[in-house]
Amino acid sequence: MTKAVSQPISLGMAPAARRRIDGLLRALRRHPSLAVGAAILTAIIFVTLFPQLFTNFNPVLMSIRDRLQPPGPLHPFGTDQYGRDILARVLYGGRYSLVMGAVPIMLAAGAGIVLGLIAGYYGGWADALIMRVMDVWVAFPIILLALAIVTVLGPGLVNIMVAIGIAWVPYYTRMVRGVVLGMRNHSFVEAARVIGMGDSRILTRHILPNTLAPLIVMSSMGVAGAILTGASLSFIGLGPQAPTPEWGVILADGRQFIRLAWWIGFFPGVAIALTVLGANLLGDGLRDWLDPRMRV
Amino acid sequence: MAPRPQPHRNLLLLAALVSALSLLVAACGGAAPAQPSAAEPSAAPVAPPPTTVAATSVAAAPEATTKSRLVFSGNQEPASIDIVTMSGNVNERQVAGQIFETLIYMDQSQTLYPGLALTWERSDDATIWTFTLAQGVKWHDGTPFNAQSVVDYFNYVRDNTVGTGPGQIKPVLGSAEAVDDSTVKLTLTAPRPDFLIELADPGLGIGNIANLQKLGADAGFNPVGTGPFKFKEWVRGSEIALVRNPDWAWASPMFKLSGPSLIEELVFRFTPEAQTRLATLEAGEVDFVDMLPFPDVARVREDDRFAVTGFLLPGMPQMNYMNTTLAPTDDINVRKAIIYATDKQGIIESVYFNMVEPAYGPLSRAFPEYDPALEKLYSYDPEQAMKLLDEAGWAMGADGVRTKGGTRLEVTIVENKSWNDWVYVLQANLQSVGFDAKVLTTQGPSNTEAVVSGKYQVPAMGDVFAAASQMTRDWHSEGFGTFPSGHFLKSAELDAMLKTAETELDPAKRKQMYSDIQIYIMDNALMVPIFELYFYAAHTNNLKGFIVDGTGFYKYFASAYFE
Amino acid sequence: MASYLLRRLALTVPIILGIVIMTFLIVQLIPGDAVSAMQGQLKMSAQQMEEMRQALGLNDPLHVQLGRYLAQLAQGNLGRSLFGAQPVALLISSNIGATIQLTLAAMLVAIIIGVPLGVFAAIKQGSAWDVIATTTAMLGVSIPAFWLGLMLIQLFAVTLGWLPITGDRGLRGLIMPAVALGVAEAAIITRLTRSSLVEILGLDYVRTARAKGLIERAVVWQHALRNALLPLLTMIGMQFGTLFGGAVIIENVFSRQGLGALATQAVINRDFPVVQGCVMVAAVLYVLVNLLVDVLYAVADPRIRYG
Repeated sequence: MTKAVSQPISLGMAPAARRRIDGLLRALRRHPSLAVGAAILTAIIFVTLFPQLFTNFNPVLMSIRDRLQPPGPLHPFGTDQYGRDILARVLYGGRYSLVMGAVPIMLAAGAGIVLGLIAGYYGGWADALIMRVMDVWVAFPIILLALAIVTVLGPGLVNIMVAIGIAWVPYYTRMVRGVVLGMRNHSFVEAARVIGMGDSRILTRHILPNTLAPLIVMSSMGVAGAILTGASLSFIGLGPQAPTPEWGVILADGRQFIRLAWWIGFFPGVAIALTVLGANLLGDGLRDWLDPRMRV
Repeated sequence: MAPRPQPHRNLLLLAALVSALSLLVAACGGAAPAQPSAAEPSAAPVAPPPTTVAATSVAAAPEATTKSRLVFSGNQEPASIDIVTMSGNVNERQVAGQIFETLIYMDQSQTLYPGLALTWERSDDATIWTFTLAQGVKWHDGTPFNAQSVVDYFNYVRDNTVGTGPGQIKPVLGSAEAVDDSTVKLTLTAPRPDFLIELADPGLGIGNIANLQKLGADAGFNPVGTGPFKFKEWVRGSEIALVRNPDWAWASPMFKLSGPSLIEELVFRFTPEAQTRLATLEAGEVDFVDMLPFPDVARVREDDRFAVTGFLLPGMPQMNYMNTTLAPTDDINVRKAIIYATDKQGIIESVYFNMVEPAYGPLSRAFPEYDPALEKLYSYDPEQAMKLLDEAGWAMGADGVRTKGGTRLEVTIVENKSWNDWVYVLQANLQSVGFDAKVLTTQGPSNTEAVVSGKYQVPAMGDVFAAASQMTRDWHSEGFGTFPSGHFLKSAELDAMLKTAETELDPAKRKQMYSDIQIYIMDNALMVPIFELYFYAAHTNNLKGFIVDGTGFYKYFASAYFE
Repeated sequence: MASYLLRRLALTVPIILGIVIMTFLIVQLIPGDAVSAMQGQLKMSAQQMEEMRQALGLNDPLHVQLGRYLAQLAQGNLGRSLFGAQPVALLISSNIGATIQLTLAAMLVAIIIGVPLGVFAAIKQGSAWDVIATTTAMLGVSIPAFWLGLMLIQLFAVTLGWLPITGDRGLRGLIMPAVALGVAEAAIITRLTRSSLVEILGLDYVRTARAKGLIERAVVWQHALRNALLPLLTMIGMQFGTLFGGAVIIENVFSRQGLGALATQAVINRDFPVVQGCVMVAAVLYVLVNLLVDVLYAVADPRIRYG
């Protein structure tokens, strides 16, 4: 769905590619939240993938002599009770939080797509059954459902991701089903049936692509929510265990030193807020760009 | 598009105020606070050595009290306070210890006093114990307490599932007999020289079996005892309230009281988070705070309003077992290397703010049986550790982890969350000499599971007990697979030494036997000793007269008063 | 109206039943077993553990256990805690009040901050004020509530000493937890208020009202606001669950007793009956709150009742 470009930018590229890039640039300019969100996330992903570029310190190496140093030139974020550099821990710990955001959403989206497609496309008792189950599923507050699942599975990074993923399934299911319902009776779907195209072809070639836009938007917001939920569960001790420098874990550490060393708890919180902000801005911007009236 | 409406002034003002407020809230949440005015020096303060409370027997009977309500803050709400069936964790014992009474009492100077038992006798081989009971004792519900009550208690413990308190003596209970209304004859199945000390444990208060049988599971929150405080109510999640027992006329001489306690209401609150617990003391909400966080001890000590007492807890010091049935800790050289690699002093400084002392073996130095020779056996010597590992064939790899024949030198340390904070330093210590050391964090029930499973090489542990003979439960092979045993070395020799020492009546011989045991354990490197556990408690300066028990941990408030 | 109520109620019952069954099933997925989890508390031999399993009925087939669970539930029996055998129903009922109090207080904070801010942003749509307001809202939604709570404690309790550190007891102790929990909610309300108000301000009947010459304030307050607030009502119902869940974490941060503290301790202890009870009660509450919201909505908007 590219729009006509009035002043093509000639970079020696094929016209179609040029138009796409122009469209993208125009979108970024027109929707600042998209640009800012994407920029923040990209920066954070980069920094957490290559922390060694930004700090020389080892995040788990203890140095008892240097413990509880306030932020200063040598340790911009200070050190914790074992002398570990907080900046290093925050940088190296980012990957866990990002993963805790992305994986549950992918799991939930996967399950949600399958369930939503079945419910929306086939209707009937499958739809009724799935939707009633989703109604029940959605009644559980996400954190409590995740808590219950973690009780059963035990604490740990993987288990938290599974728990959060399970909690998010009904939201994706409902959304996908909504899209499918809206499209089910479109003429081209009828036409496809008439010419004998199989259900699965119809689903994958016609219906699924149309779920993509709301799916992406919901996922961006979902990642934001999952990072927050994951950090919260980690904070109360149900996530990755020390000395893994996951942000929620560092924050929990910082709690006992709230009087002595406020910086231990402060910086990981800022990191979480920044990452979540980026994801939210991105999601907002994507929605504005793709379809401002999208109800996600 | 319709022309935009002109903003109405009042609406604008209101919205501006609100948004300013919300901005302020958000900004305060996000801005870096200025250096707190009560900033602590970032280096660990050089603290005075830990103090041990002198024998706290009350000088004279307290006359009056300025305040009749005492609020105590522990760290976790009990699950049950029925003395017989409760699990027996420290908070449960603390509360139950005020409601129920033991046959014997022991204060921190290790002096024994009569309790519900006025006099006692034992057979030469320490298997038959006869107690004469105090007169006129009544249960809180008015029913009389007599020898039959005690017999019922012992028989119940022998025949049923009970908590860790009575569970201690359960294995040796033979039969109990009420010779007459106030005499009990107890026959044990094995000699137990330290039996009296065991009976003084607050977890071994005599429980009301009739009440237990009547209420079943509900007895846990409707306890009926004989002690100075009666159960009043339990506001779940908030507090347990006890009231003075006005009929209490049979106080143990340890309390130097001839009548009921001066404290009318004794309230127990529980705050799991250490900083918050401390804050409630400083805010004046509670009078007594147990388990002060180590970083704050020095500071609270400086505060005129409070008195801080440190208790050295006798028992097995904080340590790590080394599992002798699992590779690589099945190799004694690896185990010794672990001991040499451990920086006890670093742990004491960084994690415990110099508020504890190094330990050297399986028995605390509070015991007369402690052998100082242990202090010479090992030292902090990473080079020696590396040498031992080299000699054992573990070659250092490029990634800093040693390997032998393709296997990595991997160990897992098991942590009971918030009780074993030193394990992270231990992990770092081990990693620096070439171990791939992991920490498995567990808590409560999952910790028990992990330790008894025998699947991990280096579980962290500690134990509190008042008599050296109780170390058997930590070291004898019959304890494998039950908490808290963790070394799994099936040594007939060690087993025999433990059993013999337990029943040895001659003190000089006992001392020698326990010396041998301690040396055996350290020579065979079955454990990594870390530090002697001190627990600090703080209370308002005007609270006096409470008595600390023989373990140094539990407080009795019967004789407490406010100046 | 009555038929609408009945219809809604009839829909609620199967959902509540579904909640109960789902909660029951989750706990059945335990790899270990409730009895082996108790080993550290009571020294039991293998024989005694087996007896306890029999007594707790853990060896019966699934549907039998479910049937028993439902029967007990009908009598108000939620089982007993695995640690201390206190009745779960009692534990929950004595703790739930504090959590509901916190949830409502947070919602109040959120409304007080969010609605005016949203109205302001809508009126100032497109201007710099709007951008500031919406960005603040964005930030509010992104800040982790538990971190905000810690920072509030750091500032107001430790440094300034104005408020108590513990969130327990009384109104003063409720302020910081309610704010920490309410900020994210306020942000959501701001956005929703703004977007629905913006939509309405552009609608025909608003234009008609303006054309008729009613003064600006009347236009905004009476017509637009009331209609903009209806979706807000629905949103509040839906958000009740999120707030309640958030309260669980905030209670932990402020050492405030409540369902959250009960549940998190139970999770750590793997005290399944308690966790089961808490989660189920929370979900049922959510359904009931939404039922209430729907009824209120029907009262406010006749189209729903008769539609």
